[in-house]
Amino acid sequence: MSARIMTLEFRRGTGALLAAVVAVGGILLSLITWANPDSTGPWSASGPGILSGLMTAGILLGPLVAAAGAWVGSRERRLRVDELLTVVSRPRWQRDLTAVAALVVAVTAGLIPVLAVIAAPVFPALSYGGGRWPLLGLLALLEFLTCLSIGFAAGRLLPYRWTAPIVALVVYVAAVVPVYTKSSIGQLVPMTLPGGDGQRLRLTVGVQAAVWFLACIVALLTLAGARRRAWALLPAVLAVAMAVPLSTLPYRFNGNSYTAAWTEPDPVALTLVCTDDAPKVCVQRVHEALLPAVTQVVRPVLAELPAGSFVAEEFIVDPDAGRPPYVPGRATIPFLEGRTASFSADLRDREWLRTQMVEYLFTAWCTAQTPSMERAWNIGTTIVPGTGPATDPIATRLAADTQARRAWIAAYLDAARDCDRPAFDELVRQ
Amino acid sequence: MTSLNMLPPVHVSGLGVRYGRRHKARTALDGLDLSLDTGVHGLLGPNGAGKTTLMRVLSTVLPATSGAVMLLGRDVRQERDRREIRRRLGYLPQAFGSYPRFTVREFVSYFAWLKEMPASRSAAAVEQAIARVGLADRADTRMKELSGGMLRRAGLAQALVNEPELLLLDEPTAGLDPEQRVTFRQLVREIGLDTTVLISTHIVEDVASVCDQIVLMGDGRIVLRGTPADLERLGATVASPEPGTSALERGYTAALRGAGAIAEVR
Repeated sequence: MSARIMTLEFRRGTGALLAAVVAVGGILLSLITWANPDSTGPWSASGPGILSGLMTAGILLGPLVAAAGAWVGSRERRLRVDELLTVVSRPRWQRDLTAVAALVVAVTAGLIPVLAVIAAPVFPALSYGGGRWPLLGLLALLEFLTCLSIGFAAGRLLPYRWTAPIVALVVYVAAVVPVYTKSSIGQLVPMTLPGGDGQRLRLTVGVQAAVWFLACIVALLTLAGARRRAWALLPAVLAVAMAVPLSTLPYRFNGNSYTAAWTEPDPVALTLVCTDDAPKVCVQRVHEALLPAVTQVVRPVLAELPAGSFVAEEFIVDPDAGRPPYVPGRATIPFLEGRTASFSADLRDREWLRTQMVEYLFTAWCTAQTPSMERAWNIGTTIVPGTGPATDPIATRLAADTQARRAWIAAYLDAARDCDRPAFDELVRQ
Repeated sequence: MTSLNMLPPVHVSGLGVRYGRRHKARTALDGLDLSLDTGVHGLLGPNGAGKTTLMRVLSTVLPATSGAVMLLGRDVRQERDRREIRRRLGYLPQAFGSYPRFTVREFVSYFAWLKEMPASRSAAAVEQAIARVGLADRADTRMKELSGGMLRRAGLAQALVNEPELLLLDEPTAGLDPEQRVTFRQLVREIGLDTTVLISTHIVEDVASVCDQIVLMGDGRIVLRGTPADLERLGATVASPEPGTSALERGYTAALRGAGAIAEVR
């Protein structure tokens, strides 16, 4: 392939424009996310988090890339240069490859500033490269190449002016419909590939997905440019062979991605990182950058907890959902995913995190709830400093008396651990 | 048996081209035999005579339905031969588009690459082709900014860039002003010294001034082969029903009206 001709294709073809559109579009999307105070976004201080952010941008950038592919694919017939090109000696696939390569360079050049905008604010806080992030990076690139190939093939087969906008619309609809309908077919859509704190791609599924995208790309480009279109059958069969197991994977769409079947906990990400000074506060390595902020929120709560009670010197932030295992001297709360501010290495809402921690701390893991238990929970969650306001008369009294409050909390935690109903009744009678 | 190396640059025998299928089939070329040597050849004929079809077959755009087409000593039916022919072929179709954002130099350079010219020769060949068609001062102008005549000259430059041994020009002077036409004729005469050039045209003056040989077609067959002087002689023997027509034009009309004219010219 001639670098000179590829440069020409980039400068004079659609390449330069595509690079600009991807860059501007991606940055605008990022800024809109950043400006929205309610946006959680994926935790971006990890390699997979950054790539996940990029992939999500693909919902809008993917159709744009597909449109550019269609525009270039239909160029020969649209510009009526097809007869001139028929009599040249260089095989068509070389010509097509150069045109597609110029677009790939354009997409990459356009994504780099988007990646920089997503990554730059949190890059100094990056504590964890991310397990198998190169595989996730490959999938992110293949996401855009798949869109490009869809457009290129459509443009070649339907060489009209309206092909590009129609292709963009079709790609957009094809990407979002399975997501909104929560269809398992969505697992074949590149824009909804998995991300998540402390998670890494399952190797077999990741490789299958990479082969699925590659086979699609080869089949589409062969269909568009090969002398014998039947050659596209071979990669198409391979694509189907990969699509069947992928689309039938058990799935659970968590609002961000199909994580259940695609990812597994990353042991490196889950390693604990703790403060040096007491009382010790620990978070997982993937959230290491949040440790100072979490410590600031947690320590006033820890001060309320008596030594030797259910919760002791360590306060550990664990991503395992559901009932935590009881370990003396250790408390477990839900993970921090989604608690970070977008484009920041800081917590999104410290008060919210404090409230959630306290509510979780006071949760009694009992099979049946009684009115006493519910009232005790309401009292407990409003008497820790920084929470509230306390409306229950008992809570109002305890909020003003530190010693009594701490004694009440200790008794509550003991009752909660043993699901001791008479003890709860006693707590609300005081 | 004729050796392939002994064949003229264009050797066509029993060439047939049919469009459509069954009852809608139409014969565009019917058992055509043609050999062309080095020099400038004019392809004349009325609309629908099969000129453009013949040009498209010779340029390897269109496959023949029947017969054999040997170009530059190679068989166009063979994929490997066809690629070699295309390396040594220049073709300017009757109607063609371009890449509007490319400059003239980029457009010609792109075609040099498409014709697999060695990179070491490409840059000089591009400049030479642009200069030959008189667009040196417009080399950095974008194609979308060119007039119709200039666009045609840029098209000619891409046909010339690989220094073809066989040059096929379909209506090359359409859109050129008289001065450009004169320059074009000089250029074609110069190229024809060592190249086989076939020009398909309606403009008989072009034929008279640049062509060594003419091929007159009608209804998918060759009606007459000879020199422009032959056609002029034929025209001189025919009384003109229209004032102001040249002997060449009268010869052209007469040849098309009667096949006997061929024998007469011969």
